[in-house]
Amino acid sequence: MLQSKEQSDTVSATSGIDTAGAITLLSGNKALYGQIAQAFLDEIQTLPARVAPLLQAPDPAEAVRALHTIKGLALTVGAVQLGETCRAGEKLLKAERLPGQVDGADRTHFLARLQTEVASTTLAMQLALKTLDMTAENAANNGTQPDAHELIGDLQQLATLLAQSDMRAVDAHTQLRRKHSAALDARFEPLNSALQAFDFERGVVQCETLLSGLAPITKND
Amino acid sequence: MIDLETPVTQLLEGVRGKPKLLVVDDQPINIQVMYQAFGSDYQVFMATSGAQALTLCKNNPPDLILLDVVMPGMDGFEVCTRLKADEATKHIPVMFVTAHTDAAQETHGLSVGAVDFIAKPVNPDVVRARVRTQLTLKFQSDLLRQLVFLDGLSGVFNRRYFDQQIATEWARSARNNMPLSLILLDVDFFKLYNDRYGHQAGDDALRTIAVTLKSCLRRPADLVARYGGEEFACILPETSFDDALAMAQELERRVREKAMPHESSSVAPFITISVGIATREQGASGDAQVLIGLADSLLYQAKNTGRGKVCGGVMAPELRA
Repeated sequence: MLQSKEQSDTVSATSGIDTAGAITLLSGNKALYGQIAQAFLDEIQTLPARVAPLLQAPDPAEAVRALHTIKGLALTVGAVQLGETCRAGEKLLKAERLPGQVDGADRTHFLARLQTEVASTTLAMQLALKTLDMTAENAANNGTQPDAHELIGDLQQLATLLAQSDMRAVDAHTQLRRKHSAALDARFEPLNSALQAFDFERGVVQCETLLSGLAPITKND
Repeated sequence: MIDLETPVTQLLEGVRGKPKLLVVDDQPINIQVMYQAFGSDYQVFMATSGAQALTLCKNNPPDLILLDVVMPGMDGFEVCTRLKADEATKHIPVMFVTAHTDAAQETHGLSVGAVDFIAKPVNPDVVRARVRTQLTLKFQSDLLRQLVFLDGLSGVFNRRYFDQQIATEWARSARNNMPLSLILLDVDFFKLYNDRYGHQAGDDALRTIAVTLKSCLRRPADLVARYGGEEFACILPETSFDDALAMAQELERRVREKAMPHESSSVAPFITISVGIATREQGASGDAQVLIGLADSLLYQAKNTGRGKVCGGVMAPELRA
């Protein structure tokens, strides 16, 4: 159920989430925002657990890199407060790089702050996503039988684009899922997973595996 | 190679195909954001690591790279440094896109060869404008580099480019053990043509001949260059003597068919050319200068035996010219 714009703005403002600003930077593409926001939420669930051991290391370079990456992603999806927390963590750890300035108490305090911020950002973003008018992207199966020849052709085209690292592969994959939703079963999950991770090399392999499995179908047509 | 007749504006508007962008970032979210901003107007490719980016740039060079700084393994600064150190990729503009905001990082990025430094989160309108600006500069730079190798009068490659390419093709021919043919041709009684019809007409005739030669040589690897005042050279990689001979005869015929009046010629009432061809066959040793010397001597033979004809010879494995 949609909240009013005022309500969603209030939610965003109080929770450090600037959903509207992030969607504007995506040229108004709410569907894309939904995708990347969900990917971001998945990413940050493990952030405190990943960062904790890195903070124990004498050289915090890896911790700085991890926080820097999340800072950029957070700012992109509008998780302003989490972005600021990561920036503060980077600054703290970089300042500690000077000899004799390692302060374990500061790092412990920062980790606690990070855990709190991840939790509140997660709740706020989940709420913000619910307020968006997210139209389901699943194409209705119009009742026609899936065309195996077309599926093979679409997979071949997808494989070609993946091999070239062409971003049109993302659109081709989305279209393939819509067009052949009735035919797509668990066999396609490795391909979907590869595309989600933008592992195009693995995507090519998965396409080839699927094509070799589909080929006998055409012989029996 | 960019078609010099295509204005830079058309290159940007994708009249000859969309410009190619490579987005390099280890985070799929960031790549998606860039694709959203550029996908409709550009052909967008992606790499999730520095190593992958370098490989892509070698195999399918983009027109511009949007490069993250912080990545596992090779960071963006190192990627940029390697791109700028490689002759094949050093002219590709690199724009860093990063959440770094300190001046030291930005200075470092520009010092390793980047042309711009954009902070995340990116504003799509701003980054699109900056990319367009950099692509304009890039295409202008490409055109300038090509002009260095072009003959201003005829529009074909100049002697400098010929000298560079004949050496390259000789080395390739020797490495791959494939034939290499060279055609040298000269306009018959060109001085008398200039004396009778004027230098402007002489320039026009050379331009017409250059266009005619270019229209005959349709393979991408074949090359036409202005070798001297009224002399042209054609490099034909992977071309046997028989094929080169057929091509040379075609060139002679096509120039003659242009029927450019030349009343001071004793060969024909029209402009004709004399042609010498030389082919390095598989296994022949020597160097490019030997090939050029052979073609030149055969051109001289064509001149001395009546002009308006083709003479050819072969550098076979047992033969040195």
